[in-house]
Amino acid sequence: MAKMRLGTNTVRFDKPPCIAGAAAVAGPLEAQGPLGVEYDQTYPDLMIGQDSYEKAERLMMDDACKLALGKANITGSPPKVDYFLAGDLLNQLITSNYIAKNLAVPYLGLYGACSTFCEGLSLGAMLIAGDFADTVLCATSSHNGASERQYRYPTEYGGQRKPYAQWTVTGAGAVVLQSQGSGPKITHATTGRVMDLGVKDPYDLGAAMAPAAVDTIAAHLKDTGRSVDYYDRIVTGDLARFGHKVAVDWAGKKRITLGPNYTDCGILVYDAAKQDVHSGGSGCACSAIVTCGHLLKEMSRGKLKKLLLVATGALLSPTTFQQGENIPCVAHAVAIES
Amino acid sequence: MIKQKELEETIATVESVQGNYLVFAESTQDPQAKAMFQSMAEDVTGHLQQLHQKLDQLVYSKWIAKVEPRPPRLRNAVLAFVGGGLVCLVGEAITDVWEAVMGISHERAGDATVATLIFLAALLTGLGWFDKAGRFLGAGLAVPVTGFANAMSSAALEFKREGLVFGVGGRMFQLAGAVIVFGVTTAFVAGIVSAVIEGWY
Repeated sequence: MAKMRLGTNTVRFDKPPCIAGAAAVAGPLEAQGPLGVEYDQTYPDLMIGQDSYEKAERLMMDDACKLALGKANITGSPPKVDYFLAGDLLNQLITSNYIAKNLAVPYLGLYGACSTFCEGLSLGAMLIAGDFADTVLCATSSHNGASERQYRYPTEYGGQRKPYAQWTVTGAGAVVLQSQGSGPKITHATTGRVMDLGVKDPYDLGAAMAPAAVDTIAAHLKDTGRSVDYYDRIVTGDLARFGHKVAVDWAGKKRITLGPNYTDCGILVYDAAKQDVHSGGSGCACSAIVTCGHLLKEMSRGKLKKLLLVATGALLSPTTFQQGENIPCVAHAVAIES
Repeated sequence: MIKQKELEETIATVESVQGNYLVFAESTQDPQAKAMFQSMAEDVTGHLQQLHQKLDQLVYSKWIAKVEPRPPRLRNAVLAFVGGGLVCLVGEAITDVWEAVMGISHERAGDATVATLIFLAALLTGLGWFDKAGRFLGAGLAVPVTGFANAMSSAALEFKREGLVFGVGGRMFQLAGAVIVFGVTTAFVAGIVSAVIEGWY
């Protein structure tokens, strides 16, 4: 049996890779949110001086990568990075592909919808722990305008949204993982299985993804023998308010008590009372900017020591939901400990 | 169609079978039999997992439908009534103005009013105000011609970056196309019905 494998879904790293640098950049609505001051860079509008939302998203991922590399003191062109692992929501991972072209380092594109951030961190940590790389750059991005026009409606369309609908976060996050260093370490990675419990409504992604999150958390706890209380914070990616509530109740039915140490990036990223985002945030950038901008900074401030991050992804396409098919979902977890 | 109750009963049965295997494994002295019962109990674990998954699929979406937050229907209805009424009020005012300015009949001025409302809705869409008002007033803005104008102009704006032909031309009707297709179809059927009834008498 592989020596770093634990149970059915988890790996434990013998030499845990360290987070040498992380950066979050965010759009205007996110900048006005409760974590606004935490982001490394924010932009005053959705276009960011570009002529399309797609180019604006690219600029954000580019900025996030540069900032993260700078924090890890990695300079030069091309930067000394063994692998670039990135993903986004746009068709054919187009944002990541262009950034990889500019970076000119070995690149693997990832699609896990909004779970991509943890998918990247897991694979990056595995590459390093397996002695295949010394430095890995992981990045994800999403842009409200760019994903709305691909998945839903034009920006200026004046339809009413459902109360459980979520708002795609505009932003990008990047993390530099290294084999050695003093930053927080990725100690475990739990890879989720795809869950489909019959939710078809593309606006109710929180409810669609909640069972995947619960399944991955359950697998992580079972594989590692840890309890919910072991962690200072268990944070899911983008279930938002309704999905968070569903996850707590569903976990209860599976005999797992998610207490006050359990929260969700989709809740943290916006102020529900002031911002018209319905259930909360979603998108690849949701878990990325909350983690890079806020959670990792809390770790370096010493306020947070043990974090279980569970990024959740709804693996739907505009074609499958129009054809009335179910929404398969996945969640990947990484344990980050300082 | 498998019923929830049947699944739950089956799960209980399989759990008790598994319990028996484990008891057998515990009580037998024969190491070969012990190993056999243990592996049988393990096999059943797989069955249980799959049964639980089937049960989850059966109950989950029904449960979600029950606990999902409902849209505030009464508030939406009241706002739609007020919003729609407002659009009609503005429309009437515009009709009166055209009637007076152009010196045409009230009925003829209605055509000019429709064009004016379409223009106004498109303008507000371009200024980025329509979507905010639409989110608030809902059907009040969506049902009158303003909703149609917004569907067309928002799509045209959105896809202009894909070029005039494939972007604006090809995708302008992405949302509004259905209104035209079913509007024309309904008009056609209604026309036939009315012609038949008129011919009858």
